[in-house]
Amino acid sequence: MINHGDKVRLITKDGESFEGIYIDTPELSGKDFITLKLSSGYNIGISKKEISSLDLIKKNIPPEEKTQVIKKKKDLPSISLLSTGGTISCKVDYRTGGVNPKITAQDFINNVPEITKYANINAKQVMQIPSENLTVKDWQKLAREIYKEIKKGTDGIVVTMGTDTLHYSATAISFMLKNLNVPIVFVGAQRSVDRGSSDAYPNLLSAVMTASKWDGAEVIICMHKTTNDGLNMLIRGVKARKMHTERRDAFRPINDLPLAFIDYERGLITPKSNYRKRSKELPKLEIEMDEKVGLIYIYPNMKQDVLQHFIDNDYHGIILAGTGFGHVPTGPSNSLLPVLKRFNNKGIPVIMTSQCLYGRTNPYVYSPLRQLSMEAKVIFAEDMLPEVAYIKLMHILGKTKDLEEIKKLMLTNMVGEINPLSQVNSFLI
Amino acid sequence: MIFLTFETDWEKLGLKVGLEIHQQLDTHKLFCNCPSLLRDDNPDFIVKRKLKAVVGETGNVDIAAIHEELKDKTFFYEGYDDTTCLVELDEEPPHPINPEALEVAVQVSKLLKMKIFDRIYIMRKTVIDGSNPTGFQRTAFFSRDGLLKTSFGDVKITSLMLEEEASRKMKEENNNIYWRVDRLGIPLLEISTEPQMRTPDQVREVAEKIGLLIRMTGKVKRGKGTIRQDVNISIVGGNRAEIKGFQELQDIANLVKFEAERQYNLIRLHEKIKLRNPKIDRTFFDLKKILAKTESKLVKTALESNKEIIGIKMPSFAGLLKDKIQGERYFAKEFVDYLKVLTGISGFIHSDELPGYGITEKEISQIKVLLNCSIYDAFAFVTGEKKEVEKALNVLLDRCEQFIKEAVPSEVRFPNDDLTTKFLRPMPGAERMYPETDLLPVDLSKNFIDSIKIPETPEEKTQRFLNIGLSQDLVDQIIRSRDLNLFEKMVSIFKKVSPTNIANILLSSADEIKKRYNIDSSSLKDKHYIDAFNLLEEGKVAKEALIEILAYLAREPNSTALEAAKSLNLTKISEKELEEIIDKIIKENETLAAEKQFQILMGFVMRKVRGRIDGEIVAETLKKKLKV
Repeated sequence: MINHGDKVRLITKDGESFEGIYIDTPELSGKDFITLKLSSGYNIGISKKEISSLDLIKKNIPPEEKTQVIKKKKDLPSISLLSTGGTISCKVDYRTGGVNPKITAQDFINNVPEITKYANINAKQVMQIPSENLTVKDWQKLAREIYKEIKKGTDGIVVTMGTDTLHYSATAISFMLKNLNVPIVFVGAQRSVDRGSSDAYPNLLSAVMTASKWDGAEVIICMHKTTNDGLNMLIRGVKARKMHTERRDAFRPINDLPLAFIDYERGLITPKSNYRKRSKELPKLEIEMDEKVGLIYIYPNMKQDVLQHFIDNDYHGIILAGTGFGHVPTGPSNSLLPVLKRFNNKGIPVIMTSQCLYGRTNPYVYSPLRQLSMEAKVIFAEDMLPEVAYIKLMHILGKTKDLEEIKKLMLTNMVGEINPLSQVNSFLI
Repeated sequence: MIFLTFETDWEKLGLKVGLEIHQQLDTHKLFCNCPSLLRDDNPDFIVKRKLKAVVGETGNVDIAAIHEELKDKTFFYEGYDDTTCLVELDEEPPHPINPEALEVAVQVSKLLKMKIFDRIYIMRKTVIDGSNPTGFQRTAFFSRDGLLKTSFGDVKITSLMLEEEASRKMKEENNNIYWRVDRLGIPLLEISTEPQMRTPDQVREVAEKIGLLIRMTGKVKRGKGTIRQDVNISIVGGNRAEIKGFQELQDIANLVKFEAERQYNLIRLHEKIKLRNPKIDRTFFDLKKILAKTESKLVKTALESNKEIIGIKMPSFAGLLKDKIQGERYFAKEFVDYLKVLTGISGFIHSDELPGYGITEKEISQIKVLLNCSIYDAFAFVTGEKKEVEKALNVLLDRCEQFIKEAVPSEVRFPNDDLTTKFLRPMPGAERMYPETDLLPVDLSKNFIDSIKIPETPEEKTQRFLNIGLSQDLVDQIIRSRDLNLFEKMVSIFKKVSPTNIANILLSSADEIKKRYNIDSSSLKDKHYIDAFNLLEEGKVAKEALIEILAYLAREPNSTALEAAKSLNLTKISEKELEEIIDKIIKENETLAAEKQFQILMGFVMRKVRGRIDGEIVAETLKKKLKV
């Protein structure tokens, strides 16, 4: 039996002979080929039809994982590094090219030895899930783990995660852990860690620096400020959004200023805005969430049945990402007003946000907006991002089902998700 | 010193040479849609990045050392808004591999009778000099096991790789290195031969033949830096030296000769030293006391600034360090190269160049006593900060020890302008490579490979050109010319202009324009030639006018050929127009006409109509008018 990593000899029907390491090919098309890694390092694929024999030369014996005890330094703060999966916490097996999602504290330290300069690191793998697959239950688990670390007296938390839904997770944790006493720093990587140019290294270094040195106590995202290496940026989790599929500086603050810049080469933190400071109190853990909430993008020519679906399926609330100030079609031939009134009649909250993302919703400027807010009782969620409103509503529905109470809480600024001030300089940064 | 010449008995010397040829393709980039365009205008943006040593398979790589080296380095990448994109900046995954480049790789594989893999994998090869913003170069093993027919038999072609070009280094200031990403990602073919060449001339022939063969695809870049050779050279008793990035094909035989000469002389010196039974002594000797009152300026300056002066024995090296081993290069240069590459110190003083630098016989003999030198032993000393000096002396001692063990180390060398070479780095171990996970492997079905036509071979092309009337000499020139593609295109466009005329003008225009008008013709593009020949095809100008029109276009590249011809008064005239001009001139010069001064009047007329009508017609018409 030949397995991934074994040394083999392959002979083709033409009598050509190749020696190399046998590589499993997971792709669908892989089954028609044998893949070898030659001693030159190159991988080649030979069609199975062309092969006359494949013989084992030497079984692969994986090297033993060495566990090293990391010495604690007395005068340094201690931080907790919780890994959840994603690009930043993968290891490449350079022998075969495979990606190994198991990463230990030692791996993080091996990758970025500089982090030990700032803190004693307690690393723990909480889960191993690509961020797009995270569920409410995973956020709840993460919140409990963070709470445990805080109770133990950690000086700061770093959460490593896939970047796709980093801002959803940061938002969920923001609502689940209020009244924070230490910073919770969410960090990811846009480039895989196998390469010397990966942003995982500066990002992790900045995150550890922030968790151990920053005087703030908020849930924040710490990623590149620009495409250049050199400065990272702290963004309030409930005001952050991934705005680019690939770039290192994909995460931007929306309707908010960055909280601080991190110059990780010189170890400098420059505050850029107001934030909650560290304290000695324990935070409040509130992990209940009602998952029966939907998030819908409004579009021209949209039909009522799309929204009716949420009523028919007993949803407890929906978020609309309306156009402009928070419009939906209300024309004579295709008005969504009737279905939105049905939500109200059934006592299901409808929250309006804007697909513009930037700027504040407004329930009064045009008469259709007044129809929505006054006749259909749609709740206009100030300058909250649609994803944030979605998570906030799940959080609120976990506490109450009372429509008035829901409205009151939705419009209460709990953790910075509503910016009372529309700052002139907070657009496109 | 023994100089080698081309008459040397190479077989006896056991010369063995293998080639690795790197050729840029003339397509868009390999993993994005950016054009393969090198630019000299100011970049639109500069991106700053750091690289990190990544933990992984250690092997020969000392991660800690690389980490230290990279820590202080900052890389700046220069790019353009309209010709570079996020892919080059490592901000977007690679796009699927450029199909045009795949096609060329198949064509070259077929021309070299190579076997193409059923499935190719794009690999990431780790590079840490910053030349790739990613930290790796993408490369794929494409085909193997081909052969090239030569005058001395078949040469086996080992492999063909399809890979991406690195960025261009623009400048290096302290630890800030500037790279321009315009070159990054240009498709590159790397063709390796077995080390089957036995004479410098054979190397030249193989390099030339492979270059010509690749060009038959019509899809390769021409010009400086677009084709580079790595030359692997050894002789019996020597070792493989890889000379990296050689660009001048016409000098390749000399390069080989020089390297053979270096190895030959090193072997000779090695044997001489072995006979003296050398013993390495790693003691460092402080020479400050002996040299305290020296007249040597060099040493004085060092002493005044509190620098160290430390010496070592170079056992059995006396009298050999000034031996020339390669052209004008002394044996001592081998040691200097190592110092320069491996330490911050750029030179050392050795006893074979003393007395000198103000150091006296007396001081020399005192040093020799201190170091316990026999008449066969040389000594060396270095000045500077203690840590640096000791590092440098250890490098010198290591090189001495290495030389006593083997005459020629296996290493990578860099070609100097005079075709000698210098040490660049030790031969790297196996490259660290792993698959490019952002791309699928490329399956090369038999149908796809069969669908790609083998381009004409140089022999077939030669025959075809002979058939359309070119002389053998012209064929040889045009087939090697940078304008081969343009020639083919023009022959297919123009039916009335003869291929010989086209070839002649293409081959000679640059020189002629320079000679006649002192104008540099580098701004002339294919469209200018086609535009100019079009006037000839349509009968609007005479053949003789072309060079002048092209010269005008070289100066005014935005003009059309017709505009050039008109403003130069080179548009063809009819016989009727000629008669009018002649009539006018006769009228203006009645006396001369009455005297039937044909020669003088002919001169006047030609001044007006040269290049616009056949000279014989002018003469005939004028004679008729003058009735002579």
